[in-house]
Amino acid sequence: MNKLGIYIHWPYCISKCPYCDFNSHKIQNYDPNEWLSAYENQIKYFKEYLVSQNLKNIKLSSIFFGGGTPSLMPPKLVEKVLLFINKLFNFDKNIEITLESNPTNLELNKISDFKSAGVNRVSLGVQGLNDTDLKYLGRLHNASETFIVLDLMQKIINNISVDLIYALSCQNLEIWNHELQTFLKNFSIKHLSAYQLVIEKGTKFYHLFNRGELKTVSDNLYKEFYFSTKNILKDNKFDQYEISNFSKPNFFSKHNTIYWKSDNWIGIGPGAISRIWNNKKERIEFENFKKPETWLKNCLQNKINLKKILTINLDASEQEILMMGLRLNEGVDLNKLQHRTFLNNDAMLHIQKQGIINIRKNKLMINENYFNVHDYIVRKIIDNYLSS
Amino acid sequence: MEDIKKIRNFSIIAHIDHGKSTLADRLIQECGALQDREMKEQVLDNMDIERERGITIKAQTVRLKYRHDDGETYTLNLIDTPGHVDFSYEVSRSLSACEGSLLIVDSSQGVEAQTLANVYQAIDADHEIVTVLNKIDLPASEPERIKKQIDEVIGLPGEEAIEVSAKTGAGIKSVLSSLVEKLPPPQGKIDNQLKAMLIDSWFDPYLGILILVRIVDGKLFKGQKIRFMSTGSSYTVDSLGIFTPKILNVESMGPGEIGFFTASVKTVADCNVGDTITDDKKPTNSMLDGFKPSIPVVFCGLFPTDSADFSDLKDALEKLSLNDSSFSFEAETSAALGFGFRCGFLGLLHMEIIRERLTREFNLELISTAPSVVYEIKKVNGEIVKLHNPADLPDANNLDHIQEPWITATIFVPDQYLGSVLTLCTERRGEQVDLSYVGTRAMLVYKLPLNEVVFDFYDRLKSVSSGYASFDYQFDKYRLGDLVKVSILVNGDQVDALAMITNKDHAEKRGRAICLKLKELIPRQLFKVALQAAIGSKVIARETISAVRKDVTAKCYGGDISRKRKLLEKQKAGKKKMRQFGQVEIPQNAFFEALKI
Ligand SMILES: Nc1nc2c(ncn2[C@@H]2O[C@H](COP(=O)(O)OP(=O)(O)OP(=O)(O)O)[C@@H](O)[C@H]2O)c(=O)[nH]1
Ligand SMILES: C[S@@+](CC[C@H](N)C(=O)[O-])C[C@H]1O[C@@H](n2cnc3c(N)ncnc32)[C@H](O)[C@@H]1O
Ligand code: SF4
Ligand SMILES: [Mg+2]
Repeated sequence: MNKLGIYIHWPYCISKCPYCDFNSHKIQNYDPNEWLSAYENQIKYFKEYLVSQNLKNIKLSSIFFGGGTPSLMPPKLVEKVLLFINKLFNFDKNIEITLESNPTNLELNKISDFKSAGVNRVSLGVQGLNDTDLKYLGRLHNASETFIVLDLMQKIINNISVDLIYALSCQNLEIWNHELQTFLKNFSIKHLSAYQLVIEKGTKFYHLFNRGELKTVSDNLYKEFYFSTKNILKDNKFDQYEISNFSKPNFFSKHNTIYWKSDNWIGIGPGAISRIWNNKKERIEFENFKKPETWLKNCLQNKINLKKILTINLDASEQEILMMGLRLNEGVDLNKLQHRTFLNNDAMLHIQKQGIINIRKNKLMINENYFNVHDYIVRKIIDNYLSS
Repeated sequence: MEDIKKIRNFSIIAHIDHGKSTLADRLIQECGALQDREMKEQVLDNMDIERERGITIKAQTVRLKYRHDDGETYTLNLIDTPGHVDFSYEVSRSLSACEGSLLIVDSSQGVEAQTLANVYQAIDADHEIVTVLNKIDLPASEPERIKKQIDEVIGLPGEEAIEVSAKTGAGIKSVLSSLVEKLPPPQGKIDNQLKAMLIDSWFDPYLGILILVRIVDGKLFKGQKIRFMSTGSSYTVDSLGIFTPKILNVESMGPGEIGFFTASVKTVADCNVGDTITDDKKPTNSMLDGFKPSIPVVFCGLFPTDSADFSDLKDALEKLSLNDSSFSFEAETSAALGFGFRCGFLGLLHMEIIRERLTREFNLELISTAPSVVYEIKKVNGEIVKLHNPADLPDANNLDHIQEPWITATIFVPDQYLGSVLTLCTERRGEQVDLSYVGTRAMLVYKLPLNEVVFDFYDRLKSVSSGYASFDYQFDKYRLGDLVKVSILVNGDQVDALAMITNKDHAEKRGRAICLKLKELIPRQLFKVALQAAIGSKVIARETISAVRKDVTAKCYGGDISRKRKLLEKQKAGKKKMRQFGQVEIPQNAFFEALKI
C-alpha cells in the first residue's frame, strides 16, 4: 500500500442541486488568502504526520479538487495550493491532477489558467444529455451550451471525464440509449462516470420523494437502465473498471482508484476525510470539521484542530477493504485480508458455485452481471459487522 | 398447627378478566396480610409475562388470617386461578385442594363461556359456592339483570350474590364473612397416616424444588421421611412453609392445610401432580384419586436457533415441565431445522407462553413450527398411531384412514353479532348443536374440528364480534376426516417443517394461501425462488419470488466509506435471522407464520 493521493474540498456552488448531499453550499463572500492559509496549514499538518510515521518519501500519485464546484475557485488559488504541495511532496512523474468543473462558459474562460496552474484532468459535471433531464436535475446549464463547452474544453485539456446521472423517472430507456450512443459518437471522451440517481437523505429530492411528489424508476427498470448503459459503453470501447466508472484504456481515475483499493489519501478542506496506514499497519481515519467556517477557523490557528482522529479496528478496516474492493471489476486482493474472520464461508461457497462471485489469482470479484446487487452480496458474505 | 374447624379453603374462579386477581388483592389487604406499601395491583401475578399481559397463568395460593364477627380468627387458604381456557387444568387442580369456590361474575358483562365451564367444574368437585358480582363501581354494571342470569343460566341462587367492587373495596367484608359462614371446614384426621396431595411443584433458584401440597389426613413435619406413592421414592423434609403471600416457614402442617415443603428432591420425575405423599415409615394404604391427566391438544416443533443449544433446551423444558405438568415434549429431527423437540400444549396461548418463558427465563433463541393437532391414523396393516407431526404422515398407499379431533365449543355472543359468528363456525366446518338465549345474548353450542380452531379461530371470533364473544371448549371425540397432507416445496425441495394436514376441500385454497404468505415472508434472493404446494406429487399451487434487482450504492468515494460501512452494519443487524435451506434463505419466523392463514 504505497500510493498516496490528496483530496482538496471546495465547498461552494452557484446554487444547490436538489439531489446533492455533498458538503456544498451556495457561494458567499470569502477571502482567498484565508483559504490558502488554511489549506496550507492542513497540508503541512498531514505532511508532519506522514513524517512521524516514516512515510515522508512516499510519492504523490494524484491530487483531486472536488466539491462543491472547485471550478469556481480563483485559478491563482489553485496554483498556489499546488505550488505549496509541490514544495512538501514528491510528485510521481505521471501525477494526475483533477479539477471538478461545471460545463459552462465561465469555466471555459478559466480553463487555460487552471491548466497552467498544473491541472491535467477535468471532471465535467455534464449530468444530463437533454434539457428536460437537466431541468429535472435542477441544473442551471442547458444541453447545447454544455456540448459546446465540452468540445472547446477538450481542445485544451485532453483528459476529460464526464459525470452523468441517469435512470430518472422522466427518462425513457430507448431514448436514453439513443442519446448516450450519439453523445459517445460526437465526443471522444476518455472517462465517464455514470451514476444512477440516488435519493439521498436530507436533499430536496428526498423530501419530495417522501411526500410522494417525486417518482423513481422501478427496480426492474433501474436494472435495465444499468445494464443497457453498461453495454453501450462497452460497445464504444470503454472498459468498465468500477460499478459506475468507465474509461478508455489507461485513462481510469488514479485518484478514485486509491479509494477503491484502500490506499492512502489526505483530505484537505471542510468535511474532508483522510485514511492513512500508519507505521503499525493500522488504518487511521481523520475527519475535518464540516461547516466551512468552523473548518476555516480551526485551520487558521497555529495548532490546528480536527473533528475526529481514530484508529479503525482491524475487522472494520478489512471489511472496508472488501466492500470497496468488490466495487472494482478486478476485485479485491485477498492478500489484503489477512484477518478475515468476518467472512461467511458457507455463504461465499454458495454464491461462488452459482457464479455470482469468483476467485482468481487470489482475487475475489463479483461477476459483473451482479453489480446491480453489490451491497446485497457484501452483506451476505460479511458475517458480522463491527463498528469502529 | 391449625384448628381444622377454623380453616376455609377456596379457589377464586371466573371468566377471564372478571377480576379474580384484583379481588384477591382486596382480600389480602382486608386481612392485613400485606402493608399498603407492599401492595401492587394483582400482587399474586408475579411472573413478568403475567404482569405484562395482565392475565394470570399460574394458580397462586395465599394463607390469610381473618377475624370474624363471632370473635374467632379463621385461616383462609385462597387460590387465585387463571381464567383463560388454556389454563383450565390449573383450575381443576386448585379445585381439588379446596372445599369451596368463590365465583366471580363481572356485573357489567354477565355470565360468559368460562364462567360456565369453571362453575361446572366446581359443582363436579362438590364445592360450596359463594357468588359475587364484581365491578359494581362501573356505570355499565347491571347487578339485577346479572343476578337473573345466574339463576337462569347457571342455576345458582342469584339473589344471594354479593355485590362488590374489587377496585374500590366495596362489599369485601361481606365476602369474607360469607366464606366463613357458607363454606364447610375441611375433613380429615390428624391421627391418621399422612396423606397429602401434590398440587404443584416448581423450581426456585434459592430453595430448589418446592412442592405444594394439601394435607388430607395426618401430619407433615420437618425431618419427617416421606414417600411419593406413584414412584415410591422417599426423601426427608427439609423445610415447610406457607405463603402469606410472603414465604413463612412453619414446623408442621395438619389436615386441611395448604403449604409447601422442600426435601432436596433432585428428579423432576418424582414430582407428579395429583400424587399422594405419605409417611415412609407409616404409609397409608389408599392413594388419593389424583387428577385426570391433562392431554396436550396442539403440537409444534421447537428448535434451537443455534444447534449447540440443544441440551440447554432440553434442560429448560425439563425445568418448565416441573412447574407445568400439562405440556409434553419429545425429541424430534427435521431436515430443515435440525435437532429439536416436538412439544404438546393445551392450546395456542399455552404454547405462546411456554415459548416466551423459554426465551426469557432460559435465554434461548428458538425457531418454532406452526401448531398442529393430533391425528389418529390407521395404517393398512391395522396399526393405529397418534400423529403429532404432519410431516410423519405415511404414504397414501400405506394409509387406511385418518381421524381428526373434534371439540364441543360454547360461545356467548350478543345478538347483533350472531350472524357473523354463525358464518365463521360454518366456514370452519362446524355443526350446530344448540342455540339458546341468555337475555339478548345467544349461547351457541357447536361441534368443530379442532384443526380449524387452533390457529386463529379465537382471534377471528373476537374480531367478528367486536371483542364481545366469549369461547370455551372441550374435547369431544375423534371422527373420520377427509384429510390430506399438503407439502411445501421451495425450489423443488420439500420443507418438512412446513407440511400440514388439512381437509381435502380446503387443501387447494390453503395451499395457495401458504404460497402467497411465504412469498411475503421470504425476502428476495439473488435468484428466482419457486414456491409450490403439493398433494403427493400433484402441485396444487405455485408462486415465484423474483430475484433482487437493485441493491447497490451507485457512487462511493473516499468520504462515503464510514457512513457506508455503518449503513451495511445496520442493515445486517436489522435483517431477520435466516435459515439456509438449500440455496434459499428462509427467515426463522416463516416456519410459524406461513401457516397462519
Ligand atoms: N372498574 C373495575 N375494574 C376492575 C374491578 N376488578 C377488576 N377490575 C379490572 O379488570 C381487569 C382484570 O382484572 P384481573 O383481576 O386481572 O382479572 P382476572 O380475573 O384475574 O383475569 P385472569 O387472571 O386473566 O383471568 C383489570 O384491568 C382490573 O383492574 C372492579 O371492581 N372495578
Ligand atoms: C461532487 S459531485 C459534483 C461536482 C460538481 N459540482 C458537479 O455538480 O458537477 C460528483 C458527482 O456525483 C454525482 N452525484 C451527486 N449527487 C448524486 C445523486 N444524488 N445521485 C447520483 N449521482 C450523484 C454527480 O454526477 C456529480 O457530478
Ligand atoms: S451537484 Fe455539484 S453543483 Fe450541484 S450542489 Fe452538488 S456539488 Fe454543487
Ligand atoms: Mg388473574
